[in-house]
Amino acid sequence: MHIGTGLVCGYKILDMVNAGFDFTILLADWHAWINNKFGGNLETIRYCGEYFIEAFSSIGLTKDKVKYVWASDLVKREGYWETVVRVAKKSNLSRVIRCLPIMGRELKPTDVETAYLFYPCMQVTDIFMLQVDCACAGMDQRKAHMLARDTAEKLSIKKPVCLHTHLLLSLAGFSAKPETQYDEDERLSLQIGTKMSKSKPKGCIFIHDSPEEIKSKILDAYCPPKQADGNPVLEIVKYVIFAKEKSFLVEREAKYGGSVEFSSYEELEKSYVEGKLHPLDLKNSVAEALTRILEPVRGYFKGKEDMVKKISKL
Amino acid sequence: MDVEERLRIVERNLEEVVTHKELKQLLECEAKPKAYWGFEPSG
Repeated sequence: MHIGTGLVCGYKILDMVNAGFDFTILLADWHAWINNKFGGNLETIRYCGEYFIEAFSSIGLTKDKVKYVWASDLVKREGYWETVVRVAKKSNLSRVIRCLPIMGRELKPTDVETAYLFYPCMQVTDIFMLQVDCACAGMDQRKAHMLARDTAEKLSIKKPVCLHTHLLLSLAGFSAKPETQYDEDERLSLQIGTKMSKSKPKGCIFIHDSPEEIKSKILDAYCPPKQADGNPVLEIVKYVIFAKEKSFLVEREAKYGGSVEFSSYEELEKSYVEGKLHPLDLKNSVAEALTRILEPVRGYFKGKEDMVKKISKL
Repeated sequence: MDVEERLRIVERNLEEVVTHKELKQLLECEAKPKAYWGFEPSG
């Protein structure tokens, strides 16, 4: 699991638990099956789901704080498939196609399995079956949520409030701009196309990375001087470090201006854009903070190294 | 924790809230509202 999932999503869930939410993490094994993750092998997907429970637990989302529900159990609940059909009856084909997880990939209809059409309808049904007040996801899932809101209105059921998180930028930043269009909104399309993704491991920090790996990846990361937009190192400060800690310390020798402590991300960004903070000093401090933040994860997985090894090979 | 503080924590760092007004109403009416996040287990 990379820090986009483990820490950006994980900390948001912790925020919500702290704000009093009764929170369910749905292990979407059937959705992964439809989406051909691990070649569509359900057994492998389930093992990975077990790993997800451990990974989220390692950052504090233990079973006493959140509920873990498997999609494969949810689909067995009475009324699930009836609701899928009801949702599908209220949505036109072109709208559902726009919600597909493979949206953006250039595919001919003959290359797409029909099962994909169930995917958005199941996402909407999950919301209705779990009877949630609030649906959370990354920005790339917003269309399925909008479909859920419209469908809820048509079926006269509770309309979910939808919360969407930023998709953490790959360490390569905007330098690896994809040609694919993922969304009509250009800005969102770019965000989806440049997000941290396990399929591009060099652009990812994994929650299990050693302090040495963290340091070497951060030092190699795209980090243009005086530029905040599309800067993955600054994004880590904003979405990960300040989500966990109240201040951010940059240690520097006196001849380079001495150490400086920032009490907000905005303060740090201003200093960086003005050129008062050198990319290398920023990188060193980010690597140190990330290493400290991920320490409990390393501790939690002591004795479970086999699982991490197995997962990393899948 | 009052509603304003809960709202601040929940909305912190979010890119989009649909809608802020509905979220506020939800927090005003429910001490323990239900929420979910679905994840495809993919490594």
